[in-house]
Amino acid sequence: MSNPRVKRSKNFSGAVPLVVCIAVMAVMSAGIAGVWQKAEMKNAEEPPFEPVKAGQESETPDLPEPPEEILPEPPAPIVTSYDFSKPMPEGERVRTEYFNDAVFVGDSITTGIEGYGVLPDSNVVATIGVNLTNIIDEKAYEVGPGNKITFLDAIDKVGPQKIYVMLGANGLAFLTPEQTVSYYEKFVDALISRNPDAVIYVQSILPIHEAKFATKYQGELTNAKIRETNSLLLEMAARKQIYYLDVAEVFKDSDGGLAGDATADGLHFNTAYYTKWIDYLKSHAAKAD
Amino acid sequence: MKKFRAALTTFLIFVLVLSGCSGSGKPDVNMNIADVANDMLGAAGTEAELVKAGDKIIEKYYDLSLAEEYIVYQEATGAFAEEVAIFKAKTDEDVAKIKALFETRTSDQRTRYESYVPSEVFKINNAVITVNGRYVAYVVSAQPDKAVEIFTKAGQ
Repeated sequence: MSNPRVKRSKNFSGAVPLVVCIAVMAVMSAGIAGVWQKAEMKNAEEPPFEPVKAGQESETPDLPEPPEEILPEPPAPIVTSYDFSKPMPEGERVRTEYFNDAVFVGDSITTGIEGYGVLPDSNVVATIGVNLTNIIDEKAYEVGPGNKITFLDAIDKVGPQKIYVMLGANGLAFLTPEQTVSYYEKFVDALISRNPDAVIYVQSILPIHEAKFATKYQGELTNAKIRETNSLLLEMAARKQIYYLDVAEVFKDSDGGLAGDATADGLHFNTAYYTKWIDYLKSHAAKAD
Repeated sequence: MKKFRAALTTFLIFVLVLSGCSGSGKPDVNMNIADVANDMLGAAGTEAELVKAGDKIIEKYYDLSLAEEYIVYQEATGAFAEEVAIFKAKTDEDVAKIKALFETRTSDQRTRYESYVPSEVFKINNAVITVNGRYVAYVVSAQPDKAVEIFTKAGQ
């Protein structure tokens, strides 16, 4: 025989959640309706968005103007009334991050920036033995095993905002200063043409230790010839309205050459001098980021 | 009884032959490449101080996808052609590919230095590429023999 009390109890307990749900939904509906009504009253004067039809492009709704204080400021001129006929003077010191969107272009001397890891987040497009006579057209930059591209293409891949160039040491033993600068100018023209928005820095050719250089390398190269070429590079920088950095000044010893204890081969130098070089660049920048 | 002895002898020979080889066909060699490379650097008698190269540099010349691990020491500016490198190949087949990369590197460096620093070319001509298990070493120096010996004895 069944127990009717138990049966009634079961029916009642099954109805309770249903009733509670209906009650909650009713309360929520009332609340949402109230909020909706308020919103409609607030936006009553604003025209509604047009519905987008199939095949019709969505029109950008007229959004309110952003507050004035968050509008991006127009870019400030990098340097006003700059005298390009003089080496860049010392200025506001920049942080290491300044070089993150830069590319360092050059020969074996510049490869040391990467080799010594002095600017690990910067880009270096440099290779051993490259010189001004082959840098424009020759596929001289290695990007993988058996894969070489031109320097200009490699720089394009970086898309730099700043370009630091140091060339000339290779080949100067066999070229006149005028020939060297003539080649240099063609390369700079190509850089400007392909990177019109980049800030371009031409760095002076660095001094050598003449005696050590003569025992290691072919051809005759003297610091006097380097200085003469650097003077012409400064004139070129002025013609092109690009910055000239007299980095050589921090590499010279009392005789105007590279210190003997800084170099093993008379041309390249140790990591301490790379630190001096980067330190110089930090205090000679066109604009602090 | 004779049959049992013959079977036992055959089995023992089989086990001995198998124990001489790893499953991959290469001797089972394991080494700490950082330690071995460091010892090799000391023995290579390089003229320049070599520094550990980062991936940005290494991947210009070598296919890193072939290597389980690798370490490369070079002179930072390229004034000297000296180099000490160890690659551990991912597979037996990759050993030959890594050897080929080192051979290409030797050829490229010879061409580069012949016009750039001819006095370095004799070191490139002395370059040694040697294999120990799945490890491949590359030594470029005036006297690479001692460094090579350290590598060939490592991990055995």
